This record gives sequence, structure tokens and C-alpha cells, in this order.
Amino acid sequence: MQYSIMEAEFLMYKLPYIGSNMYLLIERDEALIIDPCPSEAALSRLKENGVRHVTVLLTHEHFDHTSGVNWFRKYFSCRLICQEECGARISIPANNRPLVFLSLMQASNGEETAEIKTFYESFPIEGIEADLTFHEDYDLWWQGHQLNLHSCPGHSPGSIVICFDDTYAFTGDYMIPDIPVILRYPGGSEAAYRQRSLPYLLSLQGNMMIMPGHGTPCLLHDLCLEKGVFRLKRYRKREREELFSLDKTPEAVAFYTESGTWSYGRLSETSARIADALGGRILVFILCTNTSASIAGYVACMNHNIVPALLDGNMDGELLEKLIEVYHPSFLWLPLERSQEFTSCQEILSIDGYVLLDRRERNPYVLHPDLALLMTTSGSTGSPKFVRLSYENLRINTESIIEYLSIDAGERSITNLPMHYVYGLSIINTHLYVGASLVVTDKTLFQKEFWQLFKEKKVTNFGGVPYTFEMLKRLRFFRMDLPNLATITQAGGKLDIELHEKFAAYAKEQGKKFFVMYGAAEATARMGYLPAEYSLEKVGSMGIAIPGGCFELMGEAGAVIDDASTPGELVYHGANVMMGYAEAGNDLVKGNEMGGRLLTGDIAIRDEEGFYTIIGRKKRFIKMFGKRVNLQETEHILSHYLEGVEIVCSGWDDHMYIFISGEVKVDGIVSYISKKMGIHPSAFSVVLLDEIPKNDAGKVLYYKLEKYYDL
Amino acid sequence: MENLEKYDKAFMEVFELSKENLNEKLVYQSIQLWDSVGHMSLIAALEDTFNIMMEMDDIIDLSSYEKGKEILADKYGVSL
Repeated sequence: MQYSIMEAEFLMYKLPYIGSNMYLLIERDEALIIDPCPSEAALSRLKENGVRHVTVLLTHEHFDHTSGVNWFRKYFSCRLICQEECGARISIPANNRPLVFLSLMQASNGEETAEIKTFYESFPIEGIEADLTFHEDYDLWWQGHQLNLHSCPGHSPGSIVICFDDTYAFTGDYMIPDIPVILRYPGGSEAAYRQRSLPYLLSLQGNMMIMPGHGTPCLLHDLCLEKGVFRLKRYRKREREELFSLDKTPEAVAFYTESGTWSYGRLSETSARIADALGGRILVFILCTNTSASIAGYVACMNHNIVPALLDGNMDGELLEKLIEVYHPSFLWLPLERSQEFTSCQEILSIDGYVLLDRRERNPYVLHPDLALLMTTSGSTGSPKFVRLSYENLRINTESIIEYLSIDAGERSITNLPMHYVYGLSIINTHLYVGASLVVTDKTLFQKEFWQLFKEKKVTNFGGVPYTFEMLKRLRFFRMDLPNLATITQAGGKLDIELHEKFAAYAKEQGKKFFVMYGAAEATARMGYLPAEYSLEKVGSMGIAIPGGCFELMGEAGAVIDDASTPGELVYHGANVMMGYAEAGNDLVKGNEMGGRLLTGDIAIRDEEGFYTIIGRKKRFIKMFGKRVNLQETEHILSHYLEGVEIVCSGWDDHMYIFISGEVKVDGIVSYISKKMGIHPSAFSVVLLDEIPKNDAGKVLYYKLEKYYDL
Repeated sequence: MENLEKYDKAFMEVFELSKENLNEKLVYQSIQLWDSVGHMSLIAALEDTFNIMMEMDDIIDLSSYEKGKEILADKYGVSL
């Protein structure tokens, strides 16, 4: 595997102000720290893992790479290994004076503020004792990993490069992407660098991860030497065009809310402020709500090359904690009321009910340059599985939707769908892309304020999942007077045929357009749509592929089905197909693994005229109120709650049956799973069985469970 | 069963509440279960229980336990 290099998971921490990198790796009860700096976050991680021994390596003797050695020694027994020149220098307290060092750096970095000075004055000036030093080379075995420490003078006499399993190279102040090496500090030597260190750096081979002492890690093959500077290759570095052109019409209204409006100018300004605070291309978790600040955080990321994961703002705290464990986001952008769950984070910005929390951990997971956005596949089970979407995915899909729905700057939609959900997000994307406006509200269809806003702000279109249409029917929607409403769209699962017909007929009668659509997070949002003029004629069908995409049906043996009315798995081709999934932080460096082709897992048929109808599903999931719910994951969650019994989940859209065989107290099961998944308990039924029906091979016979569905 | 008892039963079943939770503090979104899905279930339960068809404005207005009593009594002739 190309990325097997990522097996060891290093965490990266930054020394405040100077920004030097400390790297930490924990395996069993041992830890390896390279260039330590004091960090409470790292300390608590070491304690949590019950670490007893710490091996400390230094890339060189400068204060900003050694500042944490004695600090960690207060808590753990630390064995310090460094080059002999490095060891000799750090043993003298006067060489470890932060302010001397700071003044050296200031020569190139501008003014030093009182705040920075105070911070660095707090460091004790003392000597650091090395436990082992070496002259030229040192080989070290640590927890089964092979490390080679190689002397590389030039930046300083005691500088080294540390190779870890031939997969990571810790280069200290060398090979910092786009930053020229500094050779002018005391003890520095241009000759030593050119004759000894540079040839060594150029001899590094393979798909190594370069872990520099400042800046961001990158892959070796993304660097090239240009006029003496290691630069990120140009194709990787090109400035990305902003996804949303917010500055074309600064006066136009982007958001209407209950309390006022946001112009495009304000959205542009606010998102620039958020992006500034985020500082660069890192990973952010956004806890989404339908509010202006939530959307502004997303826009900030999209326009400034920052990667957000969009999560449900009401997500269960425990599940969220797990996701954070897996991906180590650097920042959280979340509603103020949830900030108290993260007391160890520092609040660095607060806008309109949202706060930006710095987790003070700069994740080491390298973000692929094309990666734009992470979306959950299932809004509710808290699975760590994300869909990786690229900038191209978003642009292509957004433009395609704009084309077939004819969205222009005069449109106005309303946020009745959640923004962490690709359908909700696609409505936001398409409207901001063309300079149209959104009525931003977290009110539901069952609140007066929703319909007041709807009418007052003259909403021209809205979208809904099948459940939305059930609610609208119950609300006697057809009798409502909504003269400005021109377009209704539906996606997020197959609409009941009767409802499809009713809404299509209503639209026809009222001179409105009704679009049934088809999509998935794996395709950014949209793959198919039924043109409005066919909505009555082709009831039950989800239509044709969107502009720029195409569908085909695949038979069991993998052959393409050419004739009409033969069912097969629906396959989609298009530039909006995701880059791939991510299930762990290491996956974020991966490129496009899909090649623009998506097996949807849906079984469909095509009629003579080329319209597709979904007739079933290959995979074990159901849609609940528009969210995809993976039945296997649900069983997994339940197995933590109910030990020693057999659990099988099954059901149809909007209702799940939980079959249990074994001794168990039924009370509490529904409220447990409903709370975990954030889905209303009325959508679950528990059925106790003596035995789960299975075939001889032990496979569950789901069709035999269907007879219990009407209980 | 008296109408009020039936009315209470609908709330208790849909929102998994006990009798002492039924008071003026029980309003839309005041508890996790009373979300839009819960509201649908409540309306369905009330319509079934009292064999009525509610108007849109009333469905939306029925935003609290107390308000519901008023609406049923004034608009649908259900004396509680």
C-alpha cells in the first residue's frame, strides 16, 4: 500500500508564538517525543495512555526545539538522545535563554510584543542534561521501529535528521516547505550545509513524509529544490479560486433571518475574519445549525482552502468526542451553548452565537491538496466514516444543479433541511454560488415563524425529504396561498408514489415546478432528476442523469444492461463522484480513489425512454427522515448497550425494527438508541424472538423478519 | 374514558411522559421528543383519538399542552 507509511500516528503540537513543532508518538506505555515544548494537551494524553517511559530526541539545540525537555522530566522519566555538539550546548544554561533566541529570530520576524515577552520570560533558564550523545550516526530501536539519527550540521553544529522506519523524516529546521534554510545563526555554516547536509537531504528517497520543525508536514515527492529552497511543487501550490464570489454584489442580501439581513459584503467580511483566526489549511469540525454564523464558518473554509467536516449541531456528545479522537481537528466552530463541553480548548473568536475553539493540537494528518470538505454518510450513528469531497466535486455538482433547476440571483430558498446534510448544503451552495439569497432559520415546518418568514420573505423555492412531504400533506399544504413559490424539489429517498402524484398534480395546477431528484453524499449531492414537465407522466421515477453525468445499470455478473425494464445496480459516472471515504485521520492524505464512478447500491430499472426508477436496495441501510442509517452500525451501537444477546436491525424507510433474541429487558432500548442516533423514538419498534431466522450458512434471512413489521 | 384523560394519554404516549409532566411548561421543543417528528405523531394521535381533522393553522398553533386544550375545545367541540 502506498500509504502504509502512515502506520505510526504522530501527533503534532506547536510552541506558542514561534510555532515550532513538537511530535509525539505513543505506543503501549512508551512515548517518543521529538523537539519537546511544554503542552498540557500532550501531557494529559501521555497520562491517559499510562505512559511510563519517554524517549526524547532533539533535531538541534535551539531553545524553541528543547523548551519542553525539563518540563516533561517533571512528570516522567525521560531519556534524552541528541548529537554531541547539541548535548554540549544545551548543558549550559546561558545557551537556553529564550529571549536571546527570540531576539535572534525577531531580526527577520518583526516586532516582539509584551505578551510574547511575558510568555517566554516564564521559562526557567537552566541547563539540560542529555543521557546519550553521538558524533555522526546513531541507530535506535524503539517499540519495533528503526530510527536513524544522522548528523547534519549547517543550521547549527548539533543539527540532525531523524529517519523513522524509512517512512518519516524529522528534518528540524531543514526542508521546511517554502522557507529558505537559515545558516546565519551563531554556529551556523553554509559550507557544512552544502557539503554534508544538503547531499544527505537530497538522498532521501521513496514516499517519505517530511516532518519539519516548523510549518506543515508534507510528502517528499511534493517537494522540489528551487534556487536552494525546498518548495511545494507548483501544481500543488497554485492559489485556489474561491468557490463563492462574494464580492461581486456586496450590497445584495445573502441571508434573511428573523432578526435582520446579511449582505454578501458582510458574509465576505465575516468569513474572512473566521479564516484569519483559523490561520491556514487545517482541519475544522463545524457543528452545524441553520444559522448565519454556521454557514459563514463553512464559507470561510471553502473560500480559504481550509477543510471542514460538517457535523450535526445536536450530535450526541460522546459520539462527537469519538470523532475528535479519530481525526484530531485543530479547531471547532460551534454554537456557544456547546462550548462548555470543551473546557480544555481556548476560545479565540466569537460571532453571532458561534465560537471558534482552538484545540491547540495541530493535527499531523496531511490533507490532500484537492480535499475540500468532509461530510458524514450517516447523520446519526456517529460512524467515523466521512465522504471526501474535492473542490472540483463541489464546483461541478453545484454548476450542474444550477443549470437544470435554472437557479439565478433572483431565487430565494429557505433552510428547512439541515446544512450538515448534503441536500441541505447543496441548496446553500447553489444559492450562494449565483448570488441568490437564503432565508436562514432553525424553525421547523410546525412553527408559525417558519411560515411567516416563508411568506414575508417571498420564498421562491424549497426542498424536502420524503418525510417533509408527509408533514406538508398533513399541514394541508395544498390549501396554502404561496404566490411567490415557483419550485419545489424532493430528494433524500424515494417519495411515496401517491405523494409524488399529489405534489406533481398540485404543481401543474398552480403553475409551479416540482422536481423529484436522486443523489447521495458520495456524489457530492445530486446524480439524477426528473424534469418538472415529466413529473406527472413519470410518477415513481427519479428521472435522468444530471448535466455532466450519466447512469448505467449493471447486472449481477458485472455486465452492462442495455435493454429496458431489466433491473440492475445503478452505476453513476461524473466528476462529482467523491474522492473516496475516510475512516481514519490517515485517510485524509489520499487522492481520488473512485475515478468518477460510483456503484450506488440501489437497484433500478430504465424504461424505453431512458427514465430510471429505483426499485430496491443492495445494501443494508434504510432512510430515516432523510438520513441514511446503516443497520449494521446500529446493531453495533446496540451491542454495547445489550450484551450477550443477538441483535438484528431491519425495517423500511422511516421505521426500524430491532429484533432481539435472548434474555433482555426491553425497557429503555428504544430511548437509548433514539437518543444515540437523534431520531424520534416513535420510529423504532423492538421485537423479541426466540430465534433469529437464518439459513444453513448462518446468514440472517431478512425476508422472514418482514412478517413482524406491522406489529 | 373522559376526554381529558384521552388527551393526556396521547401526550404521555407520544412523548413518553408521566402525568406530573403535563403542565403549562410542556411546549413545542421543550423536551427532546417534541420535535417535528414528535409533533406529527401527536397530531396523528389527537386526530385519531377524537376522530377529527385539524386545520393547518391549528396544527401549528398547537404549540403547548395547554394551548392544545383550548384549540380542541374552541375549534373542534371536544370538551375537556
